Amino acid sequence: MSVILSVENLKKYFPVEQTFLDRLLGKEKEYVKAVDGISFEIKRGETLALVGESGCGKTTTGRLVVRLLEPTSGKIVFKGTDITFTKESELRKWFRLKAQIIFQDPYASLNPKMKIGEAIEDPLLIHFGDKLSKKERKEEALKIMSKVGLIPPEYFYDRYPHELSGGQRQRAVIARALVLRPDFIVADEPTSSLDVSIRAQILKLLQALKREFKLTFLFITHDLATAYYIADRIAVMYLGKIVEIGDTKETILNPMHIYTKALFSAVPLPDPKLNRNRKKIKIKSEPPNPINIPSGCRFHPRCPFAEEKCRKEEPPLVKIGKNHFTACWLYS
Amino acid sequence: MTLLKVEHLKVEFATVNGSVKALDGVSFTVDKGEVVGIVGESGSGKTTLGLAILKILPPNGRIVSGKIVFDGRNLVELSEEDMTKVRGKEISMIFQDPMTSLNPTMRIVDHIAEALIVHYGLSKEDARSRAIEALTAVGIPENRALDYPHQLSGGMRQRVMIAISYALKPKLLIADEPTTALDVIVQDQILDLLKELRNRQKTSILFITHDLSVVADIADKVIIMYAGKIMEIGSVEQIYYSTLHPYTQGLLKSIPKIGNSGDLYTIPGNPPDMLNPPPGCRFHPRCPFAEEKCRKEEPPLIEVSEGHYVACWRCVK
Repeated sequence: MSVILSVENLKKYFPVEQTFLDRLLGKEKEYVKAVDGISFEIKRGETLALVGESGCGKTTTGRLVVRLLEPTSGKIVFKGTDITFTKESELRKWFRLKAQIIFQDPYASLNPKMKIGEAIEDPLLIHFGDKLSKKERKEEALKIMSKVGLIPPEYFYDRYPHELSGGQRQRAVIARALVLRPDFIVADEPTSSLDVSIRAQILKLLQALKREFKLTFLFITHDLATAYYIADRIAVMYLGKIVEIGDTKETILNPMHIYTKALFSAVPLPDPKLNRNRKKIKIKSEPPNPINIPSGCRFHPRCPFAEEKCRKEEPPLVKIGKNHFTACWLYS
Repeated sequence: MTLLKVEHLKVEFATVNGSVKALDGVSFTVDKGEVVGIVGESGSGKTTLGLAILKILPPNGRIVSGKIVFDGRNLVELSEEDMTKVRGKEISMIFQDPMTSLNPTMRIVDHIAEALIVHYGLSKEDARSRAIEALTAVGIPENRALDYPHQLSGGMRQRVMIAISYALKPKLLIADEPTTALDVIVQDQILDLLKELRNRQKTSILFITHDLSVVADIADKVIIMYAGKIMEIGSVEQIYYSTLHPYTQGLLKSIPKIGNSGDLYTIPGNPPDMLNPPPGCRFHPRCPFAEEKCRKEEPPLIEVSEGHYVACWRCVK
């Protein structure tokens, strides 16, 4: 399998807004290190899940790789082309056709004054303009709408977002992302705002579309069970770093990093007996402020097994099994 | 011992498009020290149920009929003045977003102290020291007691809300999606706190959620709601291991499970439009077993084995 996306030592620092007084006093500029040097690859046809708690940098990573944000440093290579600092006008010529993003809240991503059908064919208008006639655009939109289960498409074409249920709106957003026939999709918590019975429908739809259109996914989620269902590989982020990455089954069933273990053991299971009987690694505190990142291993202040070395030196991501890497001094 | 008994409760909301029967004849009990999970999707009436028990429904909602017997008194008949004494002191409520309940201009310690002064007539000093004890009990150190709500993280704010229950010692705590906005590790911490509250003070908890995994972790008894009706009631074991209602079965089969890579089941269709709920069994348009009778007649909630109730014609012999 060929690599479709490769990310190397990617960083994104957001400057913290300074008050007038801070500037007068010449206070040093502070940064939120949202993504702080991550590297990974996604192969064609693969789904990589990016999991972690809020503030770990998973959403920022998603936005960086489709270049909705400009990185601070590092390298993003998409299908062999370096797009790290490419200008928007250049990206529009080809990259924006090939890479798309889907967000958590479909209501926020649809213009309330635009009919669903118009919203779905809008990308065609933007990218192809007059090269496609209005009729051709509508045909394309209707075709993709029936693929995502907005059936009958002619009915949904003339609806407005408020007339649709949450699940139908998410289907419309997926249709809009697919209308340009991209290869790569970043899905940022696409099922988190949906009801349980609708969530399964959307997950299955994404799986079916992946097969039909030979899609590659970066699937961002905080829900490990969803990651287990949908992803081939999983990367766990903590405070801007990848702390563990590997094949989904291996990593979730046999986590190695203490943070991954703690995270996974905090996930309640839909099974009362299993919940009662399993061993848990409990963490007492909450994640630290991402402006003042701890020295050494970022997780050490919360880690029940932290040693002197963990406080001083940052552990590298090392191989601990076939396709399984972790950044923890316990394994180096 | 039964602490709360809800009988045939009906709640309606007046909307521009007509009236919505948010709760349509709901009956169940909560024992002392019991954690009861109320599970449902949006529009099932689970939040309305919590608000109705405290009689804090929005202005367009009203209790049409039914009884809410709490500790021997029917709350439906209680005057607003008497309800004020019940709220907070005897029944507390926490919400998904603690910021909706915390006053942004008030120090966190004073949220608890004020409640102690109002409900128990404590002096300001006594109230403050009791409040600090409660904050320590939920894991907020004394040096944070004078913080304002905005200085705390989401998890810490939810801890403050729970501290109010530690201090006031209500008999019933209604928790409406208290961990939905939180990350899993913090969620786990908050669930532990709620379990401890129950164990220490024998507080009964009505835990409202859409999350079947959280309920499996915390509840003793589970109530499954759909479109304003109760579909199934049972002990947590009965609901998860001897599931009877097709809706409950569908829900359990449609959640991804760690360790199970089999295909997901999907419940077809969407939750009903509550302005025009379907006739007969409300779940019949989405039910794989629906028959003629289900389309016409509403199934009663019957007890099929001890403590296990289900509203489904398939279970009526």
